Amino acid sequence: MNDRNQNETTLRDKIIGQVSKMGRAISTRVALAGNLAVFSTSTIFWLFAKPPKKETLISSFFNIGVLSLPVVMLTGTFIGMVLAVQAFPQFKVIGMETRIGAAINLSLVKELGPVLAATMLAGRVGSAIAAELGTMRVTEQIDALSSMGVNPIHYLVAPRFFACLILIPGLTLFADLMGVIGGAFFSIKLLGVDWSYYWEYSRHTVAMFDVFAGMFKSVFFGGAIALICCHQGFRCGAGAEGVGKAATSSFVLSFVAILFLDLLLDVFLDQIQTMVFGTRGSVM
Amino acid sequence: MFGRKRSTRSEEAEAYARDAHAEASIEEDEAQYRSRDSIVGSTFIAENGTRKVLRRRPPLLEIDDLNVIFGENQVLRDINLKIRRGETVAIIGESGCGKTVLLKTMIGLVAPTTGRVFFKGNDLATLSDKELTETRAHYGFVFQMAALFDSMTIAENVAFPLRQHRKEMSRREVAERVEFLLEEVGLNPRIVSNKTPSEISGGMRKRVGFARALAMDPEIMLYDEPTTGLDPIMSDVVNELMISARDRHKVAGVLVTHDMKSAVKVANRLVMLYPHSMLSAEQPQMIFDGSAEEIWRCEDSRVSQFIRGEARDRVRDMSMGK
Repeated sequence: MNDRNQNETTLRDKIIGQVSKMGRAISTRVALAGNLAVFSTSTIFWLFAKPPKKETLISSFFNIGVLSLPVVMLTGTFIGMVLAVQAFPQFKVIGMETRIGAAINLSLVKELGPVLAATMLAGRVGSAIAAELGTMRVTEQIDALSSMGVNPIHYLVAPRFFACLILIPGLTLFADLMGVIGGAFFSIKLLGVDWSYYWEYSRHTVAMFDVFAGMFKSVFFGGAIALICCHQGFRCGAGAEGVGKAATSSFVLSFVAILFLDLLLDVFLDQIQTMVFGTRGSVM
Repeated sequence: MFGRKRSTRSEEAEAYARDAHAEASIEEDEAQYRSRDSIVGSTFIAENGTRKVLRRRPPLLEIDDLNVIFGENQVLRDINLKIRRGETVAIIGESGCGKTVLLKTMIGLVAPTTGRVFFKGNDLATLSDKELTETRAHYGFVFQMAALFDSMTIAENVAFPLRQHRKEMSRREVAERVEFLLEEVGLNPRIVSNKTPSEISGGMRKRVGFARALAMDPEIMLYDEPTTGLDPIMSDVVNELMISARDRHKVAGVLVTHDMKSAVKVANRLVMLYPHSMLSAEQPQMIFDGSAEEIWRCEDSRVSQFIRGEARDRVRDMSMGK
């Protein structure tokens, strides 16, 4: 009897323990989301209330735009070529290898260009932002800014956010361009697809709207990356471990946000395209 | 309407002229002062028969029933403290007693859980982001590890607050001011100006932090353990700098430290905090508030243990989780 009671108590304790653990995890995440929302609102407020200083903008533009360009272009080139390698056998089986260009270029400008440019930005710039701001938090440099009457969100976050927002469409365009070149080079030069058909089918299938849709999506990716990474840096925990964690989680969260936003925006843009241009064209 | 506005201004100006007299009577009118949010006034009938408002100048900094709780951990409980113009107060106490948290609430870097912090009568919590930012320009904060911006040179670090707030100063004026400030803290501008914070020693970094905090001619300096980690001579150099800020620049100061020598030398008044976790519910957290002479005569065993630096039964207590 006594044993049974004891078993019941331990079971109840275990269940309560699990529930409270779950509750704590949920409330932490809700608080984090709320905190990010406040942080984002404040960033947008400061961006409009007082334009960022020239010197902070220039260094952000250089770091986020110029230094990211090579890696984004390289990724684009390889993705274009990989697409050609993967798609060619499938198209060849049904005797339509001349239409491979349409498939490569459409998937590049609509999906892979923007998503990969954003992923590279999150990896190269995002985690660096989180680590830099995290170190500034740990060494009290962010507190020092506040104590000198300088709003750290205005001074540190607004220029980075603005730079990401403005530059990511350009980076996407370069990723698209290099992908198109890489795909065409591999298909025409190495796989022997006829170049006139390759370009003709591409031109027919890929509309200006598709290029625009890709760039439009990238703006949201850029904004999300900057806000998430700066936020992670600002709430960085103590010491080297805290900075490391901030850098890692900023990349993971940015990547999840990119994919989630991609899905939402695809649904939205698809509706718009159907509404404006009627049914979508197809690769075939 | 315009005329009415002007007359209000002249009343204010007249009332302001009485400030010096008013400040002396702040203590007496404390109850009245507390009942109001920011500016205190009392109506009186002037010689010509009109009703006027006498504005009293509130203390430079006032902390009112402050409580700070992080998660489930209470750090500060019911703290009341006033800092008057020109005085330097040392907040002493062992590590983890909430000294630094108290210092950071004074400038709004840590938000009070309950209670209020007033700077010149303005509640920091009610200020907008922009107003708070502007108010903070009246503070100078010397951080424990100096907190210099490592992406900038020493000269750029000291010039930083001037570049942000004194737009009217030319490049040359800023450079001259930086040179003056660096010399004031005993650094040779020609040697250190173009170095980065990682290229100079800890003591030098701390003095650069000091120069940066002084750049804006603050009304109050907050020092977070300024002598920690320095050799005895450099510690005394920092003490001398704090004394010169107090005497030559007439700046009020709050010094958080556990270095008794520094506290006694620099401060006019000492306040001792005790770790909240070691107190019972009815014991106050501020266990001493008085002058340096008084603290040596204090009979509270917790105070005498701290100022004499005695471990007593602390090892046993700590091992038992107290």
